[in-house]
Amino acid sequence: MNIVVCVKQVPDIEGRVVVEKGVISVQAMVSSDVMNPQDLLAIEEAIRIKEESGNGKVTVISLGSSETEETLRKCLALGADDAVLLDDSAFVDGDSYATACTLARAISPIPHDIILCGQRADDSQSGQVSAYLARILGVSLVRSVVKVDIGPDSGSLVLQRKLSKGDREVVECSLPTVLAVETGLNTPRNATIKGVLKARNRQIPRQNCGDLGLSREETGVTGSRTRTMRISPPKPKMKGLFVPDSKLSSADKLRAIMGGGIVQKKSDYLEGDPDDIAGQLLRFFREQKIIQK
Amino acid sequence: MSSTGGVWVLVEHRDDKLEDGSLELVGHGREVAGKTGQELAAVIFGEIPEELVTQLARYGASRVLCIKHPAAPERSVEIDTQLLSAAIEQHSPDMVLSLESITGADIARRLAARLGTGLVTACDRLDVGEDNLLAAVKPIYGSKASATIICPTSRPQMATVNPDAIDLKTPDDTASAEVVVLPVDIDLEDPGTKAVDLLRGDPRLVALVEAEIVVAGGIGLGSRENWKLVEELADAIGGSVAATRRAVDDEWITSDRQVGLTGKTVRPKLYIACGISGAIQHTMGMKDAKAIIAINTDREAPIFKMADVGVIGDVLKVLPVLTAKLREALKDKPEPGADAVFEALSNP
Repeated sequence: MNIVVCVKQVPDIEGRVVVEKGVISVQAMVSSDVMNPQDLLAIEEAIRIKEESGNGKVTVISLGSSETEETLRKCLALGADDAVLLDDSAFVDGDSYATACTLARAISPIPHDIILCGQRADDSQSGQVSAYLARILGVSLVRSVVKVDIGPDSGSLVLQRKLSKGDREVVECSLPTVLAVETGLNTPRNATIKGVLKARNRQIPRQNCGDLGLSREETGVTGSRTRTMRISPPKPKMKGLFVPDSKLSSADKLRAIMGGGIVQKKSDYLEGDPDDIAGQLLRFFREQKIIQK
Repeated sequence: MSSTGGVWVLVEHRDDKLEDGSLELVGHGREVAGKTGQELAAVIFGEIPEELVTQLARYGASRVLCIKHPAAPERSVEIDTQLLSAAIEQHSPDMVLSLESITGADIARRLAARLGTGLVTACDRLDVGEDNLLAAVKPIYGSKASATIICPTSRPQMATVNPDAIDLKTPDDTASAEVVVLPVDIDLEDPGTKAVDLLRGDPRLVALVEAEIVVAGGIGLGSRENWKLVEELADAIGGSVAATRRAVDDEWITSDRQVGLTGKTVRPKLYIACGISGAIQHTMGMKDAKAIIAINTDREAPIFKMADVGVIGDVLKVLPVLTAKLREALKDKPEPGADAVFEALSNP
C-alpha cells in the first residue's frame, strides 16, 4: 500500500500567543515550531498500514522552508521512506485551497493508495485541506477517522469515524482515498536512535513552483480563495447570566436583571431541602439543554 | 425575490426537531442578510413539518427551500453535497452558511471543494465588511487569537459557525415563510464510501476527553459503597464518571478516570463535582468546562468559586434525590444520547 502523508509544521500553541499590531507570534518555552499533533498520528498510522500490508512506500510531504526539514526528518526517523519539501516564496501564506492545489500537484506523480492528513492544524484551526485535496485529485474523502483497517480484498479500507458522545460510524471506502485523521487514532511511537541517525544525513528533495508546473499566481496568497483581513486577541470569555427563560426579549432580560431577579452565575447557591435542590438543578439542566423538556 | 443572491442557511432536522443551534444560526444569518440587503432562505433536504417552518420563519427565514431528487437517494454527506452543489449552481446564492456540527462541518467542506470556492470554518461570529462582503470571525492558534476572514471573489461566500457560539435572537411571532421545492435532477456520482454500521458509545465508558457530561466524585463521598451514587447519577444523566486523585487513591475507581494535573484535562458541556473541595491539582483539569455544578457541605470550598451553580449540602443526601428526579423526568423521553443518534442517522 502506497501512502502519502501531508504534514504541517506549526507554532507550539502551548506557548504564549501574542497579537501585536495585527501580527501574531508565539513565545514558546522550548522550541517554537513543532509538527502538527494530528499529523504525527497520520505518520504513525501510515507506518502501521505499511507494516500490515507488507509492501509499498510512505512518503511525507510538506509546504515550508528550511526549518520544515526538521519535521520531515523526524518523519523519516519514525519510519517514513521518503520526504518531499515544497519550498518556494510563492507558496507562503496561502489558504487551504491554495495549499491543497500545491500539494495535489506534488502528490499526483507519487504512487498513492491512501493520502493521510491531520484533521485540522493547530494554528489555522481550519480543517479544509483534506476536502480540497480529495476533490482536486478526484478521490473519495473520509473525515474524523479514528480507526483504519485494510479491507478483505486489500483494495478497500474499513474505517471508523468519530461521531459525538463516543459513537462511531463504520465506513467502507474504496481506494485511492483521502483520510482526515482525528485524535484517538493511535499512540505514536518514538523514533529509534538508529532511525534518527539514518534520517540525519538524508537529502530531502525540494520542489518549487517551476518543478510543479505551477505559475506563481496559482499558489500562495494570489491562489487563495480567502483573505485574512485582521488578526486580533481573543474576546474575553463572557460569564453568562442566569436567565429564567432564554427566549425572553432583550428588554425583558434587562428588566429582569435590573430588578435583581437574576443572579450572576458565580454566586448562585442552592441550599436546604434536597428535593428542592434537585428540582432547581433539573431546571438548570433544561435551560442548558442538557435534558429535553 | 430574485432567483440569484440571498443567504442560504443549511438546516438539519430529524424527528420533528431542528439540530441544536439551527435557530441561532438562522437568527444570526438574518442579521447578515439584513445588512447586505438580502433575504434569508433555510435549506433542507426532503420534507419538513409545518411547525419547523414556522420556527424557521420566526427567527428570520423568508423561504424554506426543500431540495429534492426524483430518485430520493439514501442520504449521506457526499450525496447531500452533490445535491446542494447542483442547487447552488442553479440559484447562485451569495452566501451559504451551516453549523460546524459533525454533519454540517463535513458537508460545508465538501461543498466548498466541489464549488471551488472559499470557506471559513468554525466561526464564532459573522460580520459584514466593505463591499457587503461576509467577514467571518474565527478562533485560531488554539483559540488564543481570532482572525477575520473574507472571500473576495469566488462565490458563494461560505462559513460554518460553532453551534454554541451565538445566542438565540428574539423571534418575530408574526413572520411566515414560503416553502419552495427545489427539484435537483442530476446524475449522482458514486462517492466511493459507504456507511455500514453505527457503534453506539456507552456514555459511562466513553473516554473522558470525549464526554459531554462528566459526573466526578471526590473524597466527600466517604466510602467505596457511596461511590455508586456517582455512577448512578452518571447513568441517569448519560454522563461519564470521573474522579479526583484521592478517590482514585482509595481505589473507588481506576486511574484512567482521574481528572486534574496528574490525570486528564476535560472540557465537557457540564461538569458535576460531587464532594470535591476544589484543590488546584483537580481544578486545573476541569476549569474549562462550560457549566460546572458543585455539591459540597463546606460553603468555603474553593470549588464554589468556579461553579455556575453551587449546592451547599451533603452529596449523600442530594445525589439520590437528583438521580431519582432525573430518571423520572427522562422516563418516556429520548435518552440524553438522542442527539448523537440524530447526528449519526443524518450522516449515514
